[in-house]
Amino acid sequence: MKPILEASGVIKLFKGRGRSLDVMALNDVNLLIYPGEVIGIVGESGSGKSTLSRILVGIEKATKGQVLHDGESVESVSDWQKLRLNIQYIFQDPFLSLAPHMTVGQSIRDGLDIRQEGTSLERDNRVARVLELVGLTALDANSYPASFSGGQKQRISLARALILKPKVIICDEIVSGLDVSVQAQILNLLVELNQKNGVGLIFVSHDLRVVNYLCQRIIVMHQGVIVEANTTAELFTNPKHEYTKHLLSSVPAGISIAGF
Amino acid sequence: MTKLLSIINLTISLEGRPNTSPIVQNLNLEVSAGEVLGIVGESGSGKSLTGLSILNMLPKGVYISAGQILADGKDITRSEENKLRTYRGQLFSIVFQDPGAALNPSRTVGKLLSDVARAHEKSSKRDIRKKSIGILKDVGFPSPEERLKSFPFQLSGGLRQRVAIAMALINRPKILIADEPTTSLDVSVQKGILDLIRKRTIKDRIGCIFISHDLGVIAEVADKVIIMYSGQVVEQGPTASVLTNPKHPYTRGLIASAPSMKSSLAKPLKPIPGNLPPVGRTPSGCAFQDRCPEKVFGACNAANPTWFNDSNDQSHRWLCHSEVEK
Repeated sequence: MKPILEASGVIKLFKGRGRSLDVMALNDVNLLIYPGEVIGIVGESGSGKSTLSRILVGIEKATKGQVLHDGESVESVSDWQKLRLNIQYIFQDPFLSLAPHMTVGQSIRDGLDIRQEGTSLERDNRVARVLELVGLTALDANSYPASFSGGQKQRISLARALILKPKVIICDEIVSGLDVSVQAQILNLLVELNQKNGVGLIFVSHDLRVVNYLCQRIIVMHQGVIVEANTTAELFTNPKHEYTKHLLSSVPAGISIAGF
Repeated sequence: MTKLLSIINLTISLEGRPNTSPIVQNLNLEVSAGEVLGIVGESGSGKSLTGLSILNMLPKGVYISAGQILADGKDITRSEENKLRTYRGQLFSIVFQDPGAALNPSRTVGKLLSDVARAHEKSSKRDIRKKSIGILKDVGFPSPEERLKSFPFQLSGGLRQRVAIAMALINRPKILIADEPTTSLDVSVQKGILDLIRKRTIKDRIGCIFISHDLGVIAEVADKVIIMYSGQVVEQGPTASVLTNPKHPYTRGLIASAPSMKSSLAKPLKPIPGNLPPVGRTPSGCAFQDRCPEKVFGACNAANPTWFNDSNDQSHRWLCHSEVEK
């Protein structure tokens, strides 16, 4: 199988005032991502996981190295629209990532409008279908983001990403701000999208419990370097790197909670 | 055990909105010395307001409409401003979620600590310095002598939170309220802060209220726990008993929807359907009725639910319409 994203030798340096304040956010990161897989990127704040995910979609430029999609660098693709058609991004904060002055329907439809796909009626129908897919109703298209809760807004962000039927969605901490009962709704929705529709996911998170539940493969980042990468089961039962072991030992285990 | 804090029938309401339901309803709790009480709930459940009401720090627009708060034998429900000055820091303290926002960015660690210390007692610079270094050592702050001159931005998130905890503890308060103190921190740092709060609580015989939405964190830190939903306590008891043998459908739902290191796709998470009722619109009858999978039609919306006790442990109680286990 051909990888859908291929990062090789990616280095990201954030310049500070003076050389000693430079931050090496990513140091020689190599990564292959295949269609349809659910891959987790974990690490603490400052480990470079968000920077990496932004470079993967081309919204941040690498200092050195490159990310290839379909043989082309994502930074300088000839056809932006084609890239966005295949790879979508969802941000952590649903309150900031939806335009407040646009109805939910307009926000979701935008991708179709730009591409001039189908008639206006067909676009509306697709918006309605994608809203139903994420557990909202077709009527919600007429409301503004302000009238939705955090969990519902994150569903809207998801619908907006899904409308173009992408092959991969990059999710940067998309459930961190949500309550557990809502978080579970979104997680199960992602699982369903992956299993039924074959959407691949790159799931960036600091919560090992969530990543353990969702992902098939996990990448552990520490200070801009991938320190360990393995299948979820293998990584969590048999961690090799000291940092991975440290992360695992910090997960609140508590009393083992009732067998649900 | 000495009882340090008791809250009796606390009700918090919205000001000038007589047709809305209270945002905290008939809340009762007790905290003894050397004990951590966890308050668990989702956003909008009223857990933070409960914490703030103890410090008389409720935001504008909400007020205590009924009930009593007793701290160390004193009724502090609606304390005067001048009394609050002596209470805050000495009788009770709070640690907030985001130490980056809670610490004054223009003051050094040493100044931050001496500000708080000097608000309560007059002593020499040397004594205060000694006291500051002592408290920083108590909260596990590495090489405090050198770091007194550091500004908050020069410290990592975990160290900042340790400074915030040191500020809360420097005047030896009897009650500590920790409102999601680890939510903005990394997992690897979180454990250290949880251990610290537990250790100080036991060593200094503090009564601690630990507010969190994370059941895993509560399981680690709390001796007993209160589960809140839409302004009401729906279940309470010893942490082990509540989390391993949950009785209220909401508590069960919370546990079933929280991923753990043992969960896998083979055993899918079971989310609670629906959303929390909007603030001020808690339904009459049982607050959880609209989302409850065990709802009995005609019973749950008609009458107020009643408290049941666990036969094995009388202190484990839950608020429901049926005692029958399903």
